[in-house]
Amino acid sequence: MNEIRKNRIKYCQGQNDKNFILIGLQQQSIDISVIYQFRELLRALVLRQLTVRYKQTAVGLIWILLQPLIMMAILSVVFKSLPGLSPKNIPYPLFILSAYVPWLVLARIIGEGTSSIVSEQSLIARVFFPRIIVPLSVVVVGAFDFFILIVFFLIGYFIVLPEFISIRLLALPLFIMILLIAGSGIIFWTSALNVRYRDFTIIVPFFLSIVFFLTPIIYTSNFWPKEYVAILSFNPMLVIVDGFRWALFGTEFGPLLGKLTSLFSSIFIFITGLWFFGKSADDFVDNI
Amino acid sequence: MDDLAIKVDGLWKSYKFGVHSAPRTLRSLAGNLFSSKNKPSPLEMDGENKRDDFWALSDISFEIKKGEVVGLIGANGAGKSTLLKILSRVIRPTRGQVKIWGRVGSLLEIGTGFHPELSGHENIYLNGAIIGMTRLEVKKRYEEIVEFAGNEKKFLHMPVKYYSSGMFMRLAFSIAINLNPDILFLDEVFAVGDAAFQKKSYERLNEMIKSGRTVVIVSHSASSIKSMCSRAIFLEGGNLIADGRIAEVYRVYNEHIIDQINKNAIGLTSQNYENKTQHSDESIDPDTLQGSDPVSITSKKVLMRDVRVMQDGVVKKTVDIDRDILVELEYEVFETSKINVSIQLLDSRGNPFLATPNYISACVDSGEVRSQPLKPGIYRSECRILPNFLNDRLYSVNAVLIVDNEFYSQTFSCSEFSVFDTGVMRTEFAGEWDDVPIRPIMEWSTFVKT
Repeated sequence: MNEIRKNRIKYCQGQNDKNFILIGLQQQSIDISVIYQFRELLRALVLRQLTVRYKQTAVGLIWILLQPLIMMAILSVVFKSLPGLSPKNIPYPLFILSAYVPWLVLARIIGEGTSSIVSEQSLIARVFFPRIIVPLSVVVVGAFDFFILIVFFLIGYFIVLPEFISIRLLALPLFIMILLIAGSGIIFWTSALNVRYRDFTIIVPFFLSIVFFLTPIIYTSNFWPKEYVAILSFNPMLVIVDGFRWALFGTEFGPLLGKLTSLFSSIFIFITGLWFFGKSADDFVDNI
Repeated sequence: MDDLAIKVDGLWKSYKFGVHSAPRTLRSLAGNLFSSKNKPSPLEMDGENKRDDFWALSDISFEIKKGEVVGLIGANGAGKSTLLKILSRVIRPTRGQVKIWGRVGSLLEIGTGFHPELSGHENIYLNGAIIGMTRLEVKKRYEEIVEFAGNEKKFLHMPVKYYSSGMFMRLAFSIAINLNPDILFLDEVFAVGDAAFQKKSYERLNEMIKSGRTVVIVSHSASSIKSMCSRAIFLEGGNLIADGRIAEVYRVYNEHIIDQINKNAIGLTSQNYENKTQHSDESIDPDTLQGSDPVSITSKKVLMRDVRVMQDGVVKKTVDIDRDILVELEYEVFETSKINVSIQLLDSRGNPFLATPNYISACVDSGEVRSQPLKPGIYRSECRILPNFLNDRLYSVNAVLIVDNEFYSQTFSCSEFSVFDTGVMRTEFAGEWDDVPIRPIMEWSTFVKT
C-alpha cells in the first residue's frame, strides 16, 4: 500500500508540464547532457567490446602487444638497407615503433568505428539513446588499447633507452588527445556514411593502407618531396607522429606551419564529423 | 492537461519506395546534404513525389492519460509498430510531434539489446543502461529480475548464446518488466515462455498497471488486449480509424475485418458470382447460371438471392450477444416445387458446427407455407438464433436450399458476422472464454453435498 502511494507521489512530481520529452524531427542532435545521461550505456558498450574481444582468444591481451612488435620486426628488416630513412642516433626498429603504435591505434579505431553503427543495428533499431555513443565507445576502447601499449612500451623504453628520457615525455598525453580527436572525427563521418553506403567497409581499409605510406612511419617527415609537403601536411597523423618522436627521442619537431595544418585538419574533421553525424543519426534506423 | 502521459499531435511518417534498392551514389549524397534540412510537408508535395512515398502513418493524433492502458490494434501493416517506434524514439516522424511525460521502457522485440557473447548477469546491466538506469538502480532490482526469470543460478554467468530459447526469452521479458519504467510499450510479446511463466508475466503486468503505470500494448490477440486495456486505438493503412472504449473500437474493428474478408471472397470467386449479386433485383434466367458458378450447386427451380444477418431490424456485421440474431434468407422460386431451407453456422476457421433446417419436424413452430410446394415467386425465410447462445467470435453463415429433398448449397460472401459480448455474460469474469463456437446460458445448480 505504502509502495503504491509512493509511486503515485513520484508520478505527480513527474507531471510537471515542462518536464516532457519532445519527439519531433530532431531526435539525435548532439547534446552533451543527454550523452552524460546515458554514460552507463557508454560504459556497458565499452566493457562489452573489451570482454568480447578477449574472452575467446587464447593469449588475450598479449595480442595488443604482439601485433606492433611483429610489424616492427618486419618493417625494420625490409627497410633497414635503405639509407637516410631515420636519424642515425635512434635504433631503426624503435624509430618505427614510436610511430607505428599511434598509427595502429588510429587504424583500429577507424576500422572498427566505420562498421560500428551497422553492427549495432539490432540495438539501434529497438531503443532510443544518443547514437553517437556507439562510435564514442570505439574511441574509448581505442584509448584503452593505447594506454596498455604505452605503459608496456614506456617500461621497455626506460630500460633500453634511458639516455633519451626527458621532460618532453609529459607532452605525450597532448598528442594522444589529438589522435583521439582525429579518430573520433573520422569515424563520425565513416560510421554514419556506412549506414547508407556500405562501400565504406571496403574503401576504408584500402584507404588506410595508402595513408600508411603517406604518413612518416617508416621514414621521417623531412623525407617528403618539397612540392607535396603542403598537401601531405593535411594528414592528421603528421603532428601526432612527429610529436611522439619529439617527445620520446628529442628529434626535431619540424616546421610549425605543417604541424598547425595537420592539427587544424584533425579539428576540422572532428567538428564537421559531429555535425554530419548529428544530421544523419535520425535516419539510421530507416536506412540501415 | 496535467495528467497527460503521451500527446501525439498530427503525426506523419513516410517511407520512400525502393529506398533500399535504388542505386544510391555518393554524388546524390553530396547534393542532399545541404538541401534536405526542410523536408516538404506531405500536403505540399507534388503528385509525382506523393506516388513515390508510402505513408506508414498519416495525421495521427491522440492523447493518453497517466495510468491508462491502451491497446493498439489493426491488421498487419496498419502502422502500429511504426507508431510504437516513433513513440520510443527509434525513428523520427516525417511531420508532427509527440510529447511524453516520464521514463519510457519499450519491449519492441524480445531480446532487445542482448549480446550473445555476454553472460546473463552482464546482459542485465547492459539492458538497464540501455533504458538509462544507473548501475546502482539496476543492482537494486537485480535479485528480482533473476528470481522472476526463474532460470537456474548457475546459468547466470554463462554467455546467453548457450541459453535455450525459453531461458533467453524469460530473462529478456523479466528484465523489461522489472526495470519499472513509467511508460511501457509492449509489442507482441505476450506469448513468452510456458504457461506458468505467462501467468506470472500477466500478474506482474497487472501490478504495474495498478500502480499507475501507463502501458501501450500492440497485439493481435484480442483476448490479451480485452483483458488488460480500458481503451483501444484502431489503425488501418496508417490512418486512425477509431479511438475510444475497448468495446466500441472492437466493434468497428470487427466490421473492418468482415469487409476485408468479403473483399477477398469476391476477389477469389469468378466474375459470374459478382454479376449475379449485381443483378439480383431483376429476375434471372437460371439457365445462364447453371453450372457456371464455382461455389454453388444451383437448381433450375430455385435461386438463393440473399442471406442477411440482422438485429433490431437492421442488417448488421456485428451483433450483440444478448439479443436475438436473425438470419434472413431470400430466394426466388422459378418452378413450383417443394422447397426447404437450412443454414449452417461456421466458425472463423470455416468449420461448420451447427446446422438447422426448417423441416417441420426440426424446428420449433410449424404451419405456414413452407410444408407445401411453393409457387414461382420470391420468398423469405428467417431463423432466429437465441440470445446468449453463440460465443463472442467471428462466424459465417452458409445457406442451403433443399429442393424436393435434394440439397443445393450456396455460400454467400456477405454472410460473415461477428458476435460482440456486451459484457452481460461476463460481469464477474474478465478473462477469455474457451475458443469454442457455442457458449450458451444453461441451467446450472450447485448444492451442498454434506
